[in-house]
Amino acid sequence: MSFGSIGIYLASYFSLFVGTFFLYTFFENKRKLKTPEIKEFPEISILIPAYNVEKFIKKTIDCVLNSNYPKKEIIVIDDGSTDNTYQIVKKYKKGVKIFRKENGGKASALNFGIDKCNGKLIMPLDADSFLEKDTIRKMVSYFGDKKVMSVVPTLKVYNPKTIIERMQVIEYTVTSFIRKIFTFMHGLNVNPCAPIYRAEFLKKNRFDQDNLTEDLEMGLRVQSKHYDIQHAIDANVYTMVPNNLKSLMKQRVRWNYGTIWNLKNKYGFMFGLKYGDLGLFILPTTLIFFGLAVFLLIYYLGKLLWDSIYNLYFLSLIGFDIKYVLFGGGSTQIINYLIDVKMFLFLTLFVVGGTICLIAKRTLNEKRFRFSYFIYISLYSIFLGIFPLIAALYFIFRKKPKW
Amino acid sequence: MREINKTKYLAVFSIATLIFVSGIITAQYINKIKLSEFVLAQTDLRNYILSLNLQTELAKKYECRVDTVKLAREKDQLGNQIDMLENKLGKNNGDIKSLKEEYSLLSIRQWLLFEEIREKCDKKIINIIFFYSNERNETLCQSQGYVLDYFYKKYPNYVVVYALDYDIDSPALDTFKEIHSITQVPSIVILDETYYGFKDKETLENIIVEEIKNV
Repeated sequence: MSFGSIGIYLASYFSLFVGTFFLYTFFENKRKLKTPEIKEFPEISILIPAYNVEKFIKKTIDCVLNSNYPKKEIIVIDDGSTDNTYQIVKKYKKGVKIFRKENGGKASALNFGIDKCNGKLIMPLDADSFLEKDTIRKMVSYFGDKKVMSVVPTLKVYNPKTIIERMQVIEYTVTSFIRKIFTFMHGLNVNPCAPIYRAEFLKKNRFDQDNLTEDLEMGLRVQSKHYDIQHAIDANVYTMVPNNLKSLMKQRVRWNYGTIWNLKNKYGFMFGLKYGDLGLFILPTTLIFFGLAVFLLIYYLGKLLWDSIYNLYFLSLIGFDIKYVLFGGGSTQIINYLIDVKMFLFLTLFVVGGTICLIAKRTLNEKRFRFSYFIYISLYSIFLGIFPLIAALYFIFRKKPKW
Repeated sequence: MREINKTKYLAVFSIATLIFVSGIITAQYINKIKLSEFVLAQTDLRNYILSLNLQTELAKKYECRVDTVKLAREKDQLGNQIDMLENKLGKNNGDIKSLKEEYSLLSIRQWLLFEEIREKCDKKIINIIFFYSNERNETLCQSQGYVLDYFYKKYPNYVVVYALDYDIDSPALDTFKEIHSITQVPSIVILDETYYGFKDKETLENIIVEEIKNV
């Protein structure tokens, strides 16, 4: 058995194990999917760090103002914008406050803003993300449990148009579904885009300004103190996502780098049994997936390159007279390939992965999730290997990806 | 301190392992069926050639009606299937070795038949015997095989290639090697003339085109 085959068998078994684990956990906790009834309405501060977002900031603020949550204030921190962000926000007379500071990045703006917040809850909200009317209400309902320190919403792609955006519809749907599963294991460890925190926690625990994925770092910090992060699966936030490959690459390399860096340097989570499933399963799984994605990418790219050279050599022997090479033998080879043992493993994984996707689609009621699933599986899986590979190279050579 | 549900890990491990092993067993089962189909096809072809031998005998008496192109194509397809099986199961697999030996004998039988048809029925056939090895000069043998396959596809009505593994231990094959003075691989025999070493596209094209004119 070749080195690559062993890798494929290991990757297949591992993926199957993880997929089964997710499905098992989901069906075990299905009855807990429903958002609890809200009993109290503590005041909430919506904290919006804003840097050159004149295109979106009005919509973001209007969505919050339209929310059916009664006690709320909006604090916008203009992080040294050079466009009309400040002027647009300044026009709001009631319920919206704006503060200006020198540009220092998202985490710096959030830390600056935390002191200005009066609510018992704080929701850091990205300036290009839009809430539904009942999003805050649904999220706050989870704070009835004293162990819950933060709650995340379901993130959905805003107005997807390009293929890259459409592929992310599926990715965001599946990711949100898996996040819900993580909460059943008390292991959700990331607070992206529009989480709600208890103010007392944020006032004592400021965002790490040097961290590229400050939401992940904060999530790990919540977990390190053995608090829970909940996921309100029916509370939707629509966010702008990269619409081309270049910006997607930039964002994902940063995320992957941040994940590697935080897992290596923060809190000793890896295989830490005191963190339960988070230390034993969720975080090691994340890192192993990174490793496998990189291994399979390198192996198959190498194989593709080698096969191409090999085929070119043989074609050169017949003076590249390919019309005779194209006839005969092809169909038999394809049939032969299809019944290969490895193909059966891929088929099994495809079924398990497809089941997870379909349950995720139904659970999150994501109607925009269509047949692009198949394109997603074939194309996006290649990127899933490229992003961690580049991030790992940055990490190895001690360079930091740019925002 | 978070709790870990060991029973859940065990249950998931059991389910995943069961699915994984079932997948592998199913695929291997289908592979076995496919292998037995190959063996069946090979037996069919052998019977077919035996019946064609009889047909040739009859042809001597009546007329030459044997479809050599069809026969050659069937032999070629069988050769491709054995090649694929060899790639899948490895060249040292016992079934493969025995299949290849059978295939070599069938090839020699077909060669004898075609030589007879060529001589007695005045058919334009260029029989090319190709000796190769998986153990010596492997790259050269593969290259030669590729070039010969190209000519088989380019001139399907004239060219028939008999690829014989030099290392197969068989008295019939040994006699065949002796007759054509084969001492190295790759070697090619085209209409009783032996060529040693790799022969490129141009050299072979000249020989084949010349033979097509002559035969």
